[in-house]
Amino acid sequence: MSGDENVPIDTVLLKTASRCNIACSYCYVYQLGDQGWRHQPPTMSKSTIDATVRRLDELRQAQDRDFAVVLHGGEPLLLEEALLKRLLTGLRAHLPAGCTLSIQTNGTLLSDRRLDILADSGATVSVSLDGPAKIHNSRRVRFDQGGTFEATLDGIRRLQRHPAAEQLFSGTLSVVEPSSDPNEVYWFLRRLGVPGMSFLLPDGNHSRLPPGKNGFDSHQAGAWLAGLFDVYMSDPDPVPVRVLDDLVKLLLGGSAAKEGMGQELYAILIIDTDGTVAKNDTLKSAFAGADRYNEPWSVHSHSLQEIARTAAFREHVEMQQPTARQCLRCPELSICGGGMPLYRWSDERGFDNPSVYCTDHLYLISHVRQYLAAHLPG
Amino acid sequence: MKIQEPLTTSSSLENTLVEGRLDIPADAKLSPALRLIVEDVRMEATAEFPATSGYDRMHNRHNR
Repeated sequence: MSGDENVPIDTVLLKTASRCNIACSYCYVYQLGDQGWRHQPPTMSKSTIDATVRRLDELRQAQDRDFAVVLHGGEPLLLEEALLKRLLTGLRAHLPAGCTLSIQTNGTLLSDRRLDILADSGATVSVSLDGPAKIHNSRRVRFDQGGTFEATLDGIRRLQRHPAAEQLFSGTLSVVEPSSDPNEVYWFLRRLGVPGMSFLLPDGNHSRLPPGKNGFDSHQAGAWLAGLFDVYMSDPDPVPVRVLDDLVKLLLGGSAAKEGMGQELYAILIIDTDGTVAKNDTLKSAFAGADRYNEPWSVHSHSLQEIARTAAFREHVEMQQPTARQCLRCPELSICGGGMPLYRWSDERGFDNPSVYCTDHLYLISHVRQYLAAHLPG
Repeated sequence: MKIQEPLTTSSSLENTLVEGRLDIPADAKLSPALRLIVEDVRMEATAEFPATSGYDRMHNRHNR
């Protein structure tokens, strides 16, 4: 490894489980061609957990900023309770409070015991829920194709009843279903009492269009988010809708908070269940192995700060900057940032394309600009 | 819907926000959501807001 310039790590995603207990139709891990998960242990072992905690402790001491640790999968709660406790207790003991701990879960395995473990470490819980039953169950299904809506809702209700619910429950994450009614989805989540919402676009690229998108020039997802924005702005008692908050902040001269919007670069490390260090795993949706570094980096053999100093890591981080000429001359580049790299892929030109959602971004940005121009004094 | 051209950066509103003044009158008729977002931007611009990580704020932190 070589290089002098350290790239401070912003987020560490821990793949505590490489398997999932459900089979969502749009999942980038299992449904889009990459089979790398088959070569991973189903869950993190005790030795990988201990090595991960040690490496993260070293990383925090080596870099002058906190980072977020996110438990992810697969379904991260497939990690057995004793190991979940070992991981979270270890992380909390070694990392300062500014290094937040959180989990992204499908909610179906949220037991009182697991919630206690999460609460004891100060972790927060975000639950994947796409909307009312008919929307959620159309995509988020079990292996027998049965819907997971009731099980997810049970988990959310258990979370809401927990004595530490206010600290624990951070909100929901939903994948946009462009054929649905954003008003219905928004008010379903609001009436459920979620403390915050965010939304993701379905995975896809120029060679394999995302579900619900007819072509590069279509803007179904952009129109859906514009509709959501209108509902959000009309809510007399709103909760944060992160993706829309970030967009408005950027349009007002502020900053966003996530890769895929704005031009700030985010340095993300992924640690697989065997301890391998990988790139942002959403890249798997482009081609099999797209999330792999050439180097055999692992928490068992390499320090994370060493990895962060390498040219290969910097190259991965800088990949967030689009290269397509259309993007570089676009007046909205500072807002959309070119979108997530996974959406730029085509089999012919690699990542050297605008986002497959470019038209959607432009539609939504225009819609929000018009709203701001009409409603803000100035 | 016609896609609107970007506003110029000389917009007085944008300049006000970028400079961190955010002199939006308290009685301005903003929607509750927009008022909260404007307040977030103002706090960020005036360093009253703690810098946190992107993924964390996206998924797990709610600042209101």
